[in-house]
Amino acid sequence: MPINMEGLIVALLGIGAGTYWFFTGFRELKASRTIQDIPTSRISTGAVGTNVEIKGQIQSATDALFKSPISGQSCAFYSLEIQKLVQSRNRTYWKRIDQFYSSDQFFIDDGSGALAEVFVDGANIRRQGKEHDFKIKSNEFFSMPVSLKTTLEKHAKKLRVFKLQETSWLFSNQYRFVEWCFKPEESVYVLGYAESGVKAPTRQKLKFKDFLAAKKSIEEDPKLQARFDRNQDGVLDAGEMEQGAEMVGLQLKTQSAVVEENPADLKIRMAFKKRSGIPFLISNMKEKDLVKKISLMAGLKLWGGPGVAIAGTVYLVFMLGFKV
Amino acid sequence: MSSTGIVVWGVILFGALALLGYFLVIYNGLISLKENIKKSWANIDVILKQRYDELPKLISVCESYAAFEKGVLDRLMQAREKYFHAESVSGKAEASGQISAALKGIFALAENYPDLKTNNNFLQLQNRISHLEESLSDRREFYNDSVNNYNIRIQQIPDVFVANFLNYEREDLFQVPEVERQDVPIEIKLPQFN
Repeated sequence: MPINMEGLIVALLGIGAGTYWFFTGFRELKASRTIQDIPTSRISTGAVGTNVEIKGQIQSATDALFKSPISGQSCAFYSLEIQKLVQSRNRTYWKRIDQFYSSDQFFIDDGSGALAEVFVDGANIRRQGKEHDFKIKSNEFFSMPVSLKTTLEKHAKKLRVFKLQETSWLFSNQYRFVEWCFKPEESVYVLGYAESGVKAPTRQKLKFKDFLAAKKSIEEDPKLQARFDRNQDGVLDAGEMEQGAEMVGLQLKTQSAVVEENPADLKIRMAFKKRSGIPFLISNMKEKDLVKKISLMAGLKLWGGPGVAIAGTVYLVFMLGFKV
Repeated sequence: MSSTGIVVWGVILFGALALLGYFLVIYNGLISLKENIKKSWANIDVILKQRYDELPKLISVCESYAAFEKGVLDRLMQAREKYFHAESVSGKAEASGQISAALKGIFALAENYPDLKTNNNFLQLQNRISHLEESLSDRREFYNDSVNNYNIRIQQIPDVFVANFLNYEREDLFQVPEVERQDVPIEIKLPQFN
């Protein structure tokens, strides 16, 4: 009896996929526990570093909102995914070939008086909500909606595979464009590595020459000497002099300083970026729902994966047994 | 080998791997929780140290106003000294509470000294210390959340087995000392009308 090649491939695929799901199930389990275990930080006062969790409302990276290319909604941030219809031996499916976002980053406002900047590159985005899609053949690109065409042309540099080039009917491919959007003020959850914002305010430090000038002014002014003589022994010791000079110096510096800081820049206190080995998760779901979804996925993979792998092995052995 | 044998061996193999994997996830999770507590305490300590450094400047400014109540400043200095010598989390937490209470007293008293209230250095220090106090309060909340998550985890099944294996015990929360909860008496000098 000849070996059924198709059955053999299905059995091997089952064993491989089942084992893969089993091991990735642990990753999902770990992710759900991390989300549960990390408390939420306030952007204005929270510490930066690994595994920082924030929740807040999304704000666009620019002053204006983005108009989504397919549905025409006003978005704070949107994604456009390009899929190609692929035909294999026994099935036809949509394969993702490219994706880009309206901007490289967005902001999160949690009401604490500061913003977090989120650079989305490399993030695991888990979302719920409606998606809009548009299908077209590559020989009909001329009839593509203007907004979609303009967007694709604008972001052409970000596209690695897809080219907006019209082909003949003979060599045409079917494409699907899938769009999702984070609406302005939508609640967003972020977990990942955070570093200090681009222009967080720094502590004032006195330069050495300013310190010396302040010290000299104290030495020349008996009133100042009396003011800083804390133990009232009539002598300014090194500690008293140092403290006094620092205070006088800072006061002089404050009086002469010209403030050139941009208040909008000062508000950014955290910047989230992808770091290898550290989870980076963005979601518009509530934390509880997100945990539930990831835990469910972990359970399915941890129970279903071995089931599929064992079934594949049984089928394989059964088939080979017949051959022997 | 019969198909039943394969299923049995498959279940044993995946069962053993699942147990090992689950143990590792819990083990690593508990280690992360414990380290998170240490990290959140270190983040509080940073703020406490910054506040500690600002206090002598505040005392100097207040002392330059001869009439300023010395008792309040002494209380602040004593609390600062206590913080300096404290080594444990609870010791530092207690000293921190006393510093916060003393600071409240100073800022409340400053209302009676118009010159002090408008002094640039005093205002700058007051803003800086207020910001540090706000950060401290948020980080204390974060620390307590971290401790709470840890305390819950080490008592839950199946984490409790791994926690016992690691000899992990409950951690204390950073509680607000009674002295910090008390209201600060403020004497407002109202103008006299004859």
